Amino acid sequence: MGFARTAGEALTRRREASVAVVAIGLMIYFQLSAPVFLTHDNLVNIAQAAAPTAIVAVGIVLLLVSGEIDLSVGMVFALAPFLMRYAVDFYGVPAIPAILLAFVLAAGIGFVNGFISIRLRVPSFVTTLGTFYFLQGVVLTTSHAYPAEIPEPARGDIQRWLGAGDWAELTWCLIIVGVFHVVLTRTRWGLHTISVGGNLLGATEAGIKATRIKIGNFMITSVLGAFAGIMEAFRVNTIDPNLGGGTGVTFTAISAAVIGGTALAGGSGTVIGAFLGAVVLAELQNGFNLIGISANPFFLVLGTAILVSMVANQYLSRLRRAGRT
Amino acid sequence: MGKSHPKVTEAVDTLDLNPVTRRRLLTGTGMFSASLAATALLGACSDKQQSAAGEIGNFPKTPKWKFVFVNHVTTNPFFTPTQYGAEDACKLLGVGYQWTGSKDSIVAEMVNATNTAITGKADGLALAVVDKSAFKAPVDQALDAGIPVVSYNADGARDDPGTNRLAYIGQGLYESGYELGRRALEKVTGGDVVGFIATPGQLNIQPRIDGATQAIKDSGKPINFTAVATNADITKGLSIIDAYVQGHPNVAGMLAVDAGSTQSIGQVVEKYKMRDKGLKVAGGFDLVPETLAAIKGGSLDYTIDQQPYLQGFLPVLALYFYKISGGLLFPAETNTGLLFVTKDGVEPYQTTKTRYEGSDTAKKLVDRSGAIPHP
Amino acid sequence: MTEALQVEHVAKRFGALTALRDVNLRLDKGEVLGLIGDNGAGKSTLIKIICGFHRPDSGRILVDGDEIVLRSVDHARSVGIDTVYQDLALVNELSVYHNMFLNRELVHWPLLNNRAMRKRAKAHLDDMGIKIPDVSIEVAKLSGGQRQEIKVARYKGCVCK
Repeated sequence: MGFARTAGEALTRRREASVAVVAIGLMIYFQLSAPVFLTHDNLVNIAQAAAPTAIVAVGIVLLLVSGEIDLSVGMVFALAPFLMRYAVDFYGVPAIPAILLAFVLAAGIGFVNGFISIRLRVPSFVTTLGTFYFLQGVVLTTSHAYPAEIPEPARGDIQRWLGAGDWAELTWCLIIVGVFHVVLTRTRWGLHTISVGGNLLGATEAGIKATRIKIGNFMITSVLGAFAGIMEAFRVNTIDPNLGGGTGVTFTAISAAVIGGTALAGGSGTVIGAFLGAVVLAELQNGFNLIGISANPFFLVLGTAILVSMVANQYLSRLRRAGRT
Repeated sequence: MGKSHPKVTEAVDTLDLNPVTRRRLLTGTGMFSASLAATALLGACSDKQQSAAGEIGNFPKTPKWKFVFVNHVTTNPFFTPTQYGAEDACKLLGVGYQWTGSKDSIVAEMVNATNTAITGKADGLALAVVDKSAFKAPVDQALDAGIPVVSYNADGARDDPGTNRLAYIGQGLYESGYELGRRALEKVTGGDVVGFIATPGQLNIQPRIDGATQAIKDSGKPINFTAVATNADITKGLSIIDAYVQGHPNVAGMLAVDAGSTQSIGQVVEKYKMRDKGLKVAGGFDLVPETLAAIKGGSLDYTIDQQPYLQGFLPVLALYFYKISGGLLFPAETNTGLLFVTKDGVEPYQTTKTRYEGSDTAKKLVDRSGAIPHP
Repeated sequence: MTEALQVEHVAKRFGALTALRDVNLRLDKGEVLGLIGDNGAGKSTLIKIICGFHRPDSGRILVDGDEIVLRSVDHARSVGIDTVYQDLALVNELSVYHNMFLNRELVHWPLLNNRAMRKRAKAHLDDMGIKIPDVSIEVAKLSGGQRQEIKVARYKGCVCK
């Protein structure tokens, strides 16, 4: 009995194994092509590229598992540091409370996303598309499309601990990934999230409050987006109205989640996989840049690499499933 | 594909072209490849070619240095001639370059690319500094690592370059805006003048509109100048300008500080026949085909050429000289020019397709004859 | 003798559609009642009202003689009314024991107490003579018959009338 259980656990963990294999494979490939790939400084670069994506991807995983999606999180990412700045510069709020305030507002945005999607029954794809544009308008109008400086009270230690330090972003990322991995796999919330995504009718009939779960996950996603956005602003030392990248952050986060093994259809997902997916994407970006590929062919190469990684991932997953029974 | 004289082939080979261009040259029209082959043969005869193994011209042998260009709109066609310029300079000096950065002006991506270049041990860095706070740390890091850094096309804010780069190579942004305004003042003495800017706050164009605003203010004339944001997306910008004109049909002057807005002004002026009404002056930046056509047709009075080719060519030279002289030849602040293109001089821009304007990949010598216009 | 369950004059409309007009039902303690009707007769609707999933538009429900307004499925369960559904109400991605304990999970706050749930689930199944090789495997891997057994077993854990 005990052996079967440990074998069972090992099998579950192996879902992330296919992504891990791809991530390690890429590391070997790039190290061979550009021996500076695994130097301390470059690892910092990769960590700083992967961490914000991974944090946002964690939220995306929760939502995808519960059967929803959020396209607006990239804009919350861009808006949050501005909110922090407005609080500090215009209302004299001290730095940490300003950051917390930004989180609260982000949670509000998540609530609106959830409310409209679930209560008003608009498909979440459409809802969050709408809030995406709305928030973009908010960012541009309130900032006049000017980049802003990190407010004075937030500089120094706060900036360093929350993003500018070499390993700061990665540390926060690992903490968040760890916490939410436990949430998804070992708490009622996670179980109910899976149920609601896997069999909405069945879950509701069992009495699970699907609305509460889904709206809650929307709020979690937005707050995580806000956190990642503030972290990045601290790292880059500027508040950029373009930071949401239009669709950049959202796209990359969803890609990381899916590459990591979370199904777009709902009901199953992995937070650790999303983290590894973000690492894979960061490795691709960084590695090809190191090798010296220029911008135009870069997209060709990146797209091909993502496709190849996904195919490899699927293939390995199928092998794993076949080996199980 | 006819057979070329073996001597011609041999001569073309000395030019060290990429296979596509080489094939194109060898099969090109007679005059074309013959003149080029002649140039190559002459070159081969003179001692200005590679003499000892690895040496270029009068310069000693160098490692194949790699200079990294970090750009904010990597796929924007405006920078195509810049890339040609960089490529040509690299070929001339036996070094290499990489073109990277962000496609959509995302500063974080540019910072990432810069950091990667530093860890990748680039030999030189050319950076479009579109944000005055974000690049300070990376540039300092590069300099600490012994990598020379120059900025091109954009250099932080007017009063604050924001980084410790060794030199700026590009157009004086504020100055060009000032000139844009000043030239407009030759035709407008009062009334409403509007300035269109695609992305306010972005540091490679905001200083221009600041300059124009100041020029008009300095003139003391009773002109009411408004700055209006259009859009990085040209089609949306066109709608915005169109709508503005419908709401302000008696505007006396229309200016723009970026390629997209300039092109759109030309189209709108043409559409509403504004030159027949109260419009006294319309001008802008850059040489996209639509803009050139509008100048020829009279809808636009003038446009300003930034010479993007030089913005790619000159940084490579600056970085090369720094490295080859052990730092004694320090990069110099370089203004890549502020050239007004008007109806008189517009035709050659329209008819000639060259690498230097980005409209063609082939290398060619563009003939010019006759007097050079001057005031 | 008070009946275990009484349904009086219950009606339910969905927009323009009348699902139940005036339904009356009586169930004694220990009695097994079969509800038969054509497709669309309203059987599922009636069951859903009794187990708290829907609220009736009019009428009342009495449990052990006391009138009760059922607020939710959980509430109904707490007064002793539970349901096994016709549509497959199992979450495929979850294990057997998680499905059996759905929405009634045992927690060692804040985490799930999987070990205890596994034990109890196994005990239940053994009790009922249901042979499931491993309660930790995903329900998706069971046969149709086994899944049905799990559903029945699921509700054995509560005190039902």
